[in-house]
Amino acid sequence: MAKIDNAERERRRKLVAAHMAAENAHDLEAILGTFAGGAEMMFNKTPFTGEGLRMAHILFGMSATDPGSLSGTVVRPEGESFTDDSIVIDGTVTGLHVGDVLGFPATQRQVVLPYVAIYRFDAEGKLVSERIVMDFSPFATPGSAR
Amino acid sequence: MTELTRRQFAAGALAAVPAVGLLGGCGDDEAADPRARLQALVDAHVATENAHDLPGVLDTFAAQPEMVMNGVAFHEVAAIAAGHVAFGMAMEPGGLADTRVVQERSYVLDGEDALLVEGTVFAIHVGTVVGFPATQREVALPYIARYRFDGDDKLVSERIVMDWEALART
Repeated sequence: MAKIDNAERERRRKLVAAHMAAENAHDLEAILGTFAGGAEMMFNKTPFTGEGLRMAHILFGMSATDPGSLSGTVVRPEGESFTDDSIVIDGTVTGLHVGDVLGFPATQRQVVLPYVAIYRFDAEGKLVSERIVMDFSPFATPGSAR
Repeated sequence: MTELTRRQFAAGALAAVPAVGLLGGCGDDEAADPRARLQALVDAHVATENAHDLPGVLDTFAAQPEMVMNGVAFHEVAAIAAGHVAFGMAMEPGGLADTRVVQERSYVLDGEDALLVEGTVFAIHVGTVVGFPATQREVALPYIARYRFDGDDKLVSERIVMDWEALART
């Protein structure tokens, strides 16, 4: 039986939709504005806070003004679930691989990166925790990585 | 920017991830506590994977299961078995060896008979797996898995996103 009422589900849906809309608009300041002060993003077990949040989003091509290692980045949510305090989104990030990522040189190929993300917002609607696992292997051509 | 981000990612990828004692063997509590039941079912599934007991792994699945790994869906038991062999979860050799699945966090999914688990698969990369040739190195593969069960406590759906980046390094 569901414990999270529809109003709370809708609140979380709208907040995460706004976050992803900012990412798809490559509006870095708007993205960062969705985070609370002291927010943490855990990305494939690596924590990012503060300036690290900015750099990680730039790397993924989510800034219109700072070139990253992906360009034409699109976040495509495909499914949602809810935990006691979070909304869980699974989907893909697509983009053109135009720069080095973790030592994998640019391939100029379109990559499709599946992910699951767990977003937790505070009472003010700010993102306090984003925990993601994303498959980075599409950046590699088998046998080509360092 | 790129170099700092790279170091941050590398530090995380190489970090030893301690096993967290999750629920298991909860006995009578399972009936009253959905979380305890779901965690015990996932613990049992993972225990068979860590024992490399393929028949045991397959026995935790329902008759018509779904498994989705990084967006690719498998519905045939034979394909699910082959996937577990490839990842070193059977006695027969696969692309990974000494495989160990470590759960780190789990969440009950509201309104679903399902548990979401964050964890890491540790193994030695001894053969070609998902197209990436052996490196003989130890790899740590972070994952988030969603396990959904039926009324008979069988796994009807296992949907995983796992970072295979460590397999891609030569």
